[in-house]
Amino acid sequence: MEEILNPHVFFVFLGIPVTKTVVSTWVVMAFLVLLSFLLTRKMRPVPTRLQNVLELFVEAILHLVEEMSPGNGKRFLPLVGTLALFIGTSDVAGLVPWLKSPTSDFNTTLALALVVFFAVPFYGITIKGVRNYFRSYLSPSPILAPFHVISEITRTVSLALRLFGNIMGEEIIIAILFLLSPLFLPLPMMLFSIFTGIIQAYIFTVLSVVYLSAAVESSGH
Amino acid sequence: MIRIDRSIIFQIINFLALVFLLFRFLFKPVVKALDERSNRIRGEFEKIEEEKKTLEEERRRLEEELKNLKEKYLEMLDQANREAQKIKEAIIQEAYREAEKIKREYERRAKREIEQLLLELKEDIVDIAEEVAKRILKVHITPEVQTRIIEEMLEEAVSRLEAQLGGTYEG
Repeated sequence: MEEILNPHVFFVFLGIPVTKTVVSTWVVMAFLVLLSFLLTRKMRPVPTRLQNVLELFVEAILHLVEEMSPGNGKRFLPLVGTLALFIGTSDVAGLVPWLKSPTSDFNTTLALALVVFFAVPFYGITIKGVRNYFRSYLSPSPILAPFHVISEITRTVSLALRLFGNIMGEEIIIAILFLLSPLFLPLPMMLFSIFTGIIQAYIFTVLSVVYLSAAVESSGH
Repeated sequence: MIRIDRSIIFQIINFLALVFLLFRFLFKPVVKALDERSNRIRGEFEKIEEEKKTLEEERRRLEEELKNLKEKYLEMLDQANREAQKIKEAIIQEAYREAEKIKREYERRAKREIEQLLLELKEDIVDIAEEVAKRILKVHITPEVQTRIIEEMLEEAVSRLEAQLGGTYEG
Protein backbone atom coordinates (compact mmCIF):
# COMPACT_ATOMS: atom_id res chain seq x y z
CA MET A 1 0.00 0.00 0.00
CA GLU A 2 2.88 2.31 0.85
CA GLU A 3 4.30 1.52 -2.61
CA ILE A 4 1.08 2.76 -4.22
CA LEU A 5 0.99 6.02 -2.28
CA ASN A 6 4.73 6.72 -2.36
CA PRO A 7 6.41 5.13 -5.36
CA HIS A 8 9.83 3.54 -5.19
CA VAL A 9 12.76 5.91 -5.90
CA PHE A 10 15.15 4.38 -8.43
CA PHE A 11 17.85 7.03 -8.22
CA VAL A 12 18.33 10.72 -7.56
CA PHE A 13 19.30 12.98 -10.44
CA LEU A 14 20.53 16.50 -9.57
CA GLY A 15 18.72 16.24 -6.28
CA ILE A 16 15.45 15.22 -7.97
CA PRO A 17 14.22 11.71 -7.18
CA VAL A 18 13.53 9.54 -10.23
CA THR A 19 10.59 7.46 -9.00
CA LYS A 20 8.82 4.50 -10.56
CA THR A 21 6.14 6.99 -11.63
CA VAL A 22 8.69 9.09 -13.51
CA VAL A 23 10.07 6.02 -15.27
CA SER A 24 6.52 4.91 -16.12
CA THR A 25 5.86 8.41 -17.47
CA TRP A 26 8.89 8.07 -19.73
CA VAL A 27 7.61 4.72 -20.98
CA VAL A 28 4.17 6.23 -21.66
CA MET A 29 5.80 9.20 -23.39
CA ALA A 30 8.02 6.94 -25.49
CA PHE A 31 5.03 4.82 -26.43
CA LEU A 32 2.95 7.86 -27.46
CA VAL A 33 5.74 9.55 -29.37
CA LEU A 34 6.79 6.37 -31.16
CA LEU A 35 3.19 5.53 -32.05
CA SER A 36 2.60 9.08 -33.29
CA PHE A 37 5.76 9.01 -35.34
CA LEU A 38 4.89 5.67 -36.93
CA LEU A 39 1.30 6.61 -37.66
CA THR A 40 2.00 10.05 -39.09
CA ARG A 41 5.08 9.06 -41.07
CA LYS A 42 3.12 8.60 -44.28
CA MET A 43 -0.02 10.65 -44.20
CA ARG A 44 -2.17 9.87 -47.22
CA PRO A 45 -4.74 12.12 -48.92
CA VAL A 46 -7.20 9.21 -48.69
CA PRO A 47 -6.75 8.12 -45.06
CA THR A 48 -6.02 4.56 -43.97
CA ARG A 49 -7.91 3.01 -41.06
CA LEU A 50 -5.31 4.05 -38.45
CA GLN A 51 -4.98 7.52 -39.94
CA ASN A 52 -8.75 7.79 -39.69
CA VAL A 53 -8.58 6.99 -35.97
CA LEU A 54 -5.92 9.68 -35.48
CA GLU A 55 -7.91 12.22 -37.46
CA LEU A 56 -11.06 11.37 -35.54
CA PHE A 57 -9.24 11.94 -32.24
CA VAL A 58 -7.75 15.25 -33.37
CA GLU A 59 -11.06 16.41 -34.81
CA ALA A 60 -12.85 15.46 -31.57
CA ILE A 61 -10.42 17.61 -29.57
CA LEU A 62 -10.73 20.47 -32.06
CA HIS A 63 -14.52 20.20 -31.94
CA LEU A 64 -14.50 20.15 -28.11
CA VAL A 65 -12.38 23.31 -27.95
CA GLU A 66 -14.22 25.09 -30.76
CA GLU A 67 -17.54 24.48 -29.04
CA MET A 68 -16.38 26.19 -25.86
CA SER A 69 -13.93 28.68 -27.30
CA PRO A 70 -14.61 29.34 -30.98
CA GLY A 71 -11.53 30.13 -33.04
CA ASN A 72 -9.04 28.69 -30.54
CA GLY A 73 -9.18 25.03 -31.57
CA LYS A 74 -5.76 24.88 -33.17
CA ARG A 75 -4.19 27.11 -30.50
CA PHE A 76 -5.26 24.85 -27.61
CA LEU A 77 -4.90 21.57 -29.51
CA PRO A 78 -1.31 20.69 -28.51
CA LEU A 79 -1.95 21.19 -24.78
CA VAL A 80 -5.49 19.80 -24.64
CA GLY A 81 -4.73 16.92 -27.01
CA THR A 82 -1.61 15.96 -25.05
CA LEU A 83 -3.54 16.09 -21.78
CA ALA A 84 -6.21 13.77 -23.17
CA LEU A 85 -3.74 11.32 -24.68
CA PHE A 86 -1.30 11.32 -21.77
CA ILE A 87 -3.92 10.98 -19.04
CA GLY A 88 -5.89 8.35 -20.99
CA THR A 89 -2.76 6.28 -21.63
CA SER A 90 -1.38 6.81 -18.13
CA ASP A 91 -4.66 5.72 -16.52
CA VAL A 92 -4.52 2.34 -18.24
CA ALA A 93 -0.72 2.00 -18.05
CA GLY A 94 -1.07 0.56 -14.55
CA LEU A 95 -2.57 -2.56 -16.10
CA VAL A 96 0.74 -3.33 -17.82
CA PRO A 97 3.03 -5.47 -15.64
CA TRP A 98 6.00 -3.65 -14.02
CA LEU A 99 4.48 -0.29 -14.85
CA LYS A 100 2.81 2.10 -12.44
CA SER A 101 0.04 4.36 -13.62
CA PRO A 102 1.66 7.83 -13.59
CA THR A 103 -1.68 9.43 -12.72
CA SER A 104 -1.92 7.38 -9.53
CA ASP A 105 0.90 9.57 -8.19
CA PHE A 106 -0.21 12.94 -6.84
CA ASN A 107 3.01 14.53 -8.12
CA THR A 108 1.97 13.72 -11.70
CA THR A 109 -1.62 14.94 -11.41
CA LEU A 110 -0.48 18.07 -9.59
CA ALA A 111 2.12 18.67 -12.30
CA LEU A 112 -0.61 18.41 -14.94
CA ALA A 113 -2.92 20.68 -12.97
CA LEU A 114 -0.09 23.20 -12.54
CA VAL A 115 0.55 23.19 -16.27
CA VAL A 116 -3.16 24.01 -16.81
CA PHE A 117 -2.97 26.58 -13.98
CA PHE A 118 -0.14 28.43 -15.74
CA ALA A 119 -1.54 27.86 -19.23
CA VAL A 120 -4.69 29.79 -18.28
CA PRO A 121 -2.97 33.17 -17.76
CA PHE A 122 -0.50 32.41 -20.56
CA TYR A 123 -3.26 32.02 -23.15
CA GLY A 124 -5.37 34.74 -21.51
CA ILE A 125 -2.56 37.28 -21.78
CA THR A 126 -1.53 36.09 -25.26
CA ILE A 127 -5.05 36.48 -26.62
CA LYS A 128 -6.50 39.35 -24.61
CA GLY A 129 -3.41 41.29 -23.57
CA VAL A 130 -2.10 41.86 -20.03
CA ARG A 131 -4.49 44.67 -19.09
CA ASN A 132 -7.61 43.04 -20.40
CA TYR A 133 -6.71 39.73 -18.83
CA PHE A 134 -6.09 41.12 -15.34
CA ARG A 135 -9.08 43.44 -15.65
CA SER A 136 -11.23 40.31 -15.76
CA TYR A 137 -10.11 39.61 -12.15
CA LEU A 138 -11.77 42.86 -11.09
CA SER A 139 -15.06 41.92 -12.70
CA PRO A 140 -17.83 42.25 -11.55
CA SER A 141 -16.27 43.99 -8.50
CA PRO A 142 -12.64 44.52 -7.39
CA ILE A 143 -13.61 43.06 -4.00
CA LEU A 144 -14.00 39.70 -5.69
CA ALA A 145 -10.41 39.68 -7.04
CA PRO A 146 -9.01 37.59 -4.13
CA PHE A 147 -11.85 35.14 -4.56
CA HIS A 148 -11.00 34.74 -8.25
CA VAL A 149 -7.41 33.89 -7.26
CA ILE A 150 -8.57 31.46 -4.56
CA SER A 151 -10.98 29.89 -7.05
CA GLU A 152 -8.16 29.33 -9.53
CA ILE A 153 -5.96 27.71 -6.89
CA THR A 154 -8.71 25.48 -5.50
CA ARG A 155 -9.87 24.34 -8.90
CA THR A 156 -6.28 23.42 -9.76
CA VAL A 157 -5.95 21.40 -6.54
CA SER A 158 -9.35 19.78 -7.13
CA LEU A 159 -8.35 18.93 -10.70
CA ALA A 160 -5.23 17.19 -9.42
CA LEU A 161 -6.95 15.46 -6.51
CA ARG A 162 -9.92 14.21 -8.56
CA LEU A 163 -7.72 12.43 -11.07
CA PHE A 164 -5.27 11.18 -8.47
CA GLY A 165 -8.04 9.94 -6.15
CA ASN A 166 -9.86 8.04 -8.86
CA ILE A 167 -6.83 6.32 -10.34
CA MET A 168 -5.16 5.62 -6.98
CA GLY A 169 -8.47 4.27 -5.64
CA GLU A 170 -8.76 1.87 -8.54
CA GLU A 171 -5.19 0.70 -8.12
CA ILE A 172 -5.75 0.08 -4.41
CA ILE A 173 -8.94 -1.90 -5.14
CA ILE A 174 -7.17 -3.93 -7.82
CA ALA A 175 -4.24 -4.55 -5.41
CA ILE A 176 -6.60 -5.70 -2.66
CA LEU A 177 -8.51 -7.96 -5.06
CA PHE A 178 -5.18 -9.30 -6.31
CA LEU A 179 -4.19 -10.17 -2.76
CA LEU A 180 -7.51 -11.92 -2.21
CA SER A 181 -7.59 -13.90 -5.43
CA PRO A 182 -4.74 -13.29 -7.86
CA LEU A 183 -6.33 -15.18 -10.79
CA PHE A 184 -9.80 -13.98 -11.75
CA LEU A 185 -11.12 -11.54 -9.16
CA PRO A 186 -9.12 -8.44 -10.25
CA LEU A 187 -10.04 -8.98 -13.92
CA PRO A 188 -13.48 -7.25 -13.96
CA MET A 189 -12.04 -4.37 -11.95
CA MET A 190 -9.12 -4.07 -14.36
CA LEU A 191 -11.54 -3.90 -17.30
CA PHE A 192 -13.64 -1.36 -15.42
CA SER A 193 -10.51 0.71 -14.73
CA ILE A 194 -9.98 1.11 -18.50
CA PHE A 195 -13.42 2.64 -18.73
CA THR A 196 -12.99 4.93 -15.70
CA GLY A 197 -9.47 5.87 -16.84
CA ILE A 198 -10.85 7.15 -20.17
CA ILE A 199 -13.70 8.93 -18.35
CA GLN A 200 -11.21 10.63 -16.02
CA ALA A 201 -9.06 11.69 -18.96
CA TYR A 202 -12.16 13.16 -20.59
CA ILE A 203 -13.19 15.01 -17.40
CA PHE A 204 -9.70 16.46 -16.89
CA THR A 205 -9.54 17.54 -20.54
CA VAL A 206 -13.00 19.10 -20.59
CA LEU A 207 -12.35 21.02 -17.35
CA SER A 208 -9.03 22.26 -18.72
CA VAL A 209 -10.79 23.49 -21.87
CA VAL A 210 -13.43 25.20 -19.70
CA TYR A 211 -10.74 27.02 -17.69
CA LEU A 212 -8.80 27.99 -20.81
CA SER A 213 -11.88 29.21 -22.67
CA ALA A 214 -13.01 31.21 -19.63
CA ALA A 215 -9.62 32.91 -19.58
CA VAL A 216 -9.75 33.94 -23.25
CA GLU A 217 -13.40 34.85 -23.62
CA SER A 218 -13.96 38.58 -24.12
CA SER A 219 -16.53 39.06 -21.34
CA GLY A 220 -14.06 37.97 -18.68
CA HIS A 221 -14.81 35.63 -15.75
CA MET B 1 0.15 9.73 3.27
CA ILE B 2 0.31 11.76 0.05
CA ARG B 3 3.74 13.21 -0.45
CA ILE B 4 4.68 16.05 -2.78
CA ASP B 5 8.33 15.80 -3.69
CA ARG B 6 10.68 17.28 -6.21
CA SER B 7 9.75 14.63 -8.80
CA ILE B 8 6.93 17.02 -9.69
CA ILE B 9 9.59 19.07 -11.52
CA PHE B 10 10.41 16.04 -13.64
CA GLN B 11 6.75 15.48 -14.33
CA ILE B 12 6.21 19.08 -15.43
CA ILE B 13 9.25 18.92 -17.71
CA ASN B 14 8.14 15.51 -18.97
CA PHE B 15 4.69 16.78 -19.78
CA LEU B 16 5.93 19.93 -21.51
CA ALA B 17 8.37 17.80 -23.53
CA LEU B 18 5.51 15.50 -24.45
CA VAL B 19 3.42 18.50 -25.54
CA PHE B 20 6.25 19.54 -27.85
CA LEU B 21 6.90 16.03 -29.17
CA LEU B 22 3.26 15.25 -29.80
CA PHE B 23 2.83 18.63 -31.46
CA ARG B 24 5.78 17.81 -33.70
CA PHE B 25 4.92 14.18 -34.47
CA LEU B 26 1.15 14.00 -34.10
CA PHE B 27 -0.90 17.18 -34.09
CA LYS B 28 1.04 19.13 -36.68
CA PRO B 29 1.01 16.41 -39.38
CA VAL B 30 -2.62 15.46 -38.69
CA VAL B 31 -3.83 19.07 -38.70
CA LYS B 32 -1.81 19.65 -41.86
CA ALA B 33 -3.42 16.61 -43.50
CA LEU B 34 -6.87 17.76 -42.39
CA ASP B 35 -6.25 21.28 -43.66
CA GLU B 36 -4.90 20.02 -46.97
CA ARG B 37 -7.92 17.80 -47.41
CA SER B 38 -10.38 20.53 -46.51
CA ASN B 39 -8.52 22.94 -48.83
CA ARG B 40 -8.61 20.39 -51.60
CA ILE B 41 -12.33 19.81 -51.06
CA ARG B 42 -12.93 23.57 -50.91
CA GLY B 43 -10.87 23.95 -54.10
CA GLU B 44 -12.92 21.25 -55.79
CA PHE B 45 -16.12 22.95 -54.66
CA GLU B 46 -14.88 26.30 -55.95
CA LYS B 47 -13.91 24.68 -59.24
CA ILE B 48 -17.34 23.10 -59.51
CA GLU B 49 -18.97 26.44 -58.70
CA GLU B 50 -16.80 28.12 -61.33
CA GLU B 51 -17.72 25.50 -63.91
CA LYS B 52 -21.36 25.80 -62.92
CA LYS B 53 -21.16 29.56 -63.43
CA THR B 54 -19.46 29.12 -66.82
CA LEU B 55 -22.08 26.60 -67.89
CA GLU B 56 -24.84 28.90 -66.69
CA GLU B 57 -23.37 31.74 -68.78
CA GLU B 58 -23.05 29.42 -71.78
CA ARG B 59 -26.66 28.30 -71.33
CA ARG B 60 -27.81 31.92 -71.13
CA ARG B 61 -25.81 32.77 -74.25
CA LEU B 62 -27.25 29.81 -76.15
CA GLU B 63 -30.76 30.74 -75.03
CA GLU B 64 -30.19 34.28 -76.28
CA GLU B 65 -28.86 32.91 -79.56
CA LEU B 66 -31.85 30.57 -79.87
CA LYS B 67 -34.19 33.46 -79.20
CA ASN B 68 -32.47 35.53 -81.90
CA LEU B 69 -32.63 32.63 -84.32
CA LYS B 70 -36.33 32.16 -83.59
CA GLU B 71 -36.95 35.85 -84.21
CA LYS B 72 -34.94 35.69 -87.42
CA TYR B 73 -36.81 32.54 -88.47
CA LEU B 74 -40.18 34.19 -87.82
CA GLU B 75 -39.08 37.28 -89.71
CA MET B 76 -37.94 35.17 -92.66
CA LEU B 77 -41.17 33.19 -92.55
CA ASP B 78 -43.17 36.40 -92.55
CA GLN B 79 -41.18 37.77 -95.46
CA ALA B 80 -41.62 34.50 -97.37
CA ASN B 81 -45.37 34.64 -96.69
CA ARG B 82 -45.50 38.19 -97.95
CA GLU B 83 -43.57 37.30 -101.10
CA ALA B 84 -45.73 34.22 -101.64
CA GLN B 85 -48.80 36.39 -101.30
CA LYS B 86 -47.39 38.81 -103.88
CA ILE B 87 -46.58 35.95 -106.25
CA LYS B 88 -50.04 34.48 -105.70
CA GLU B 89 -51.69 37.80 -106.49
CA ALA B 90 -49.51 38.24 -109.57
CA ILE B 91 -50.42 34.73 -110.77
CA ILE B 92 -54.13 35.40 -110.19
CA GLN B 93 -53.89 38.70 -112.03
CA GLU B 94 -52.09 36.98 -114.86
CA ALA B 95 -54.73 34.23 -114.94
CA TYR B 96 -57.51 36.84 -115.04
CA ARG B 97 -55.76 38.62 -117.87
CA GLU B 98 -55.30 35.36 -119.74
CA ALA B 99 -58.95 34.40 -119.18
CA GLU B 100 -60.05 37.83 -120.39
CA LYS B 101 -57.89 37.41 -123.46
CA ILE B 102 -59.29 33.93 -124.17
CA LYS B 103 -62.84 35.22 -123.63
CA ARG B 104 -62.24 38.08 -126.01
CA GLU B 105 -60.76 35.71 -128.57
CA TYR B 106 -63.76 33.40 -128.36
CA GLU B 107 -66.19 36.32 -128.61
CA ARG B 108 -64.40 37.52 -131.72
CA ARG B 109 -64.54 34.04 -133.19
CA ALA B 110 -68.25 33.72 -132.35
CA LYS B 111 -68.99 37.05 -133.98
CA ARG B 112 -67.12 36.01 -137.04
CA GLU B 113 -69.00 32.72 -137.21
CA ILE B 114 -72.35 34.54 -136.79
CA GLU B 115 -71.44 36.82 -139.64
CA GLN B 116 -70.50 33.78 -141.69
CA LEU B 117 -73.77 32.07 -140.85
CA LEU B 118 -75.78 35.17 -141.69
CA LEU B 119 -74.03 35.29 -145.01
CA GLU B 120 -74.78 31.64 -145.61
CA LEU B 121 -78.39 32.23 -144.54
CA LYS B 122 -78.76 35.09 -146.96
CA GLU B 123 -77.58 32.80 -149.68
CA ASP B 124 -80.08 30.17 -148.53
CA ILE B 125 -82.88 32.74 -148.52
CA VAL B 126 -81.95 33.74 -152.01
CA ASP B 127 -82.02 30.07 -153.00
CA ILE B 128 -85.41 29.56 -151.32
CA ALA B 129 -86.75 32.68 -152.96
CA GLU B 130 -85.60 31.35 -156.29
CA GLU B 131 -87.29 28.05 -155.54
CA VAL B 132 -90.50 29.85 -154.58
CA ALA B 133 -90.37 31.90 -157.65
CA LYS B 134 -89.89 28.78 -159.69
CA ARG B 135 -92.90 27.11 -158.05
CA ILE B 136 -95.09 30.16 -158.53
CA LEU B 137 -94.17 30.26 -162.08
CA LYS B 138 -94.99 26.59 -162.54
CA VAL B 139 -98.41 26.67 -160.84
CA HIS B 140 -101.27 29.06 -161.41
CA ILE B 141 -101.99 30.56 -158.20
CA THR B 142 -104.06 33.42 -157.07
CA PRO B 143 -102.27 36.52 -155.73
CA GLU B 144 -103.64 35.71 -152.28
CA VAL B 145 -102.10 32.28 -152.36
CA GLN B 146 -98.89 33.67 -153.67
CA THR B 147 -98.72 36.19 -150.87
CA ARG B 148 -99.49 33.51 -148.32
CA ILE B 149 -96.74 31.26 -149.69
CA ILE B 150 -94.22 34.07 -149.60
CA GLU B 151 -95.14 34.84 -146.02
CA GLU B 152 -94.83 31.20 -145.04
CA MET B 153 -91.47 31.01 -146.73
CA LEU B 154 -90.30 34.12 -145.01
CA GLU B 155 -91.47 32.86 -141.62
CA GLU B 156 -89.75 29.57 -142.24
CA ALA B 157 -86.56 31.41 -143.18
CA VAL B 158 -86.74 33.60 -140.08
CA SER B 159 -87.37 30.62 -137.78
CA ARG B 160 -84.45 28.74 -139.33
CA LEU B 161 -82.26 31.78 -138.87
CA GLU B 162 -83.31 32.10 -135.24
CA ALA B 163 -82.70 28.39 -134.68
CA GLN B 164 -79.25 28.66 -136.17
CA LEU B 165 -78.37 31.78 -134.19
CA GLY B 166 -79.57 30.19 -130.95
CA GLY B 167 -77.47 27.04 -131.62
CA THR B 168 -74.35 29.09 -132.32
CA TYR B 169 -74.62 31.04 -129.09
CA GLU B 170 -75.25 27.88 -127.13
CA GLY B 171 -72.32 26.17 -128.83
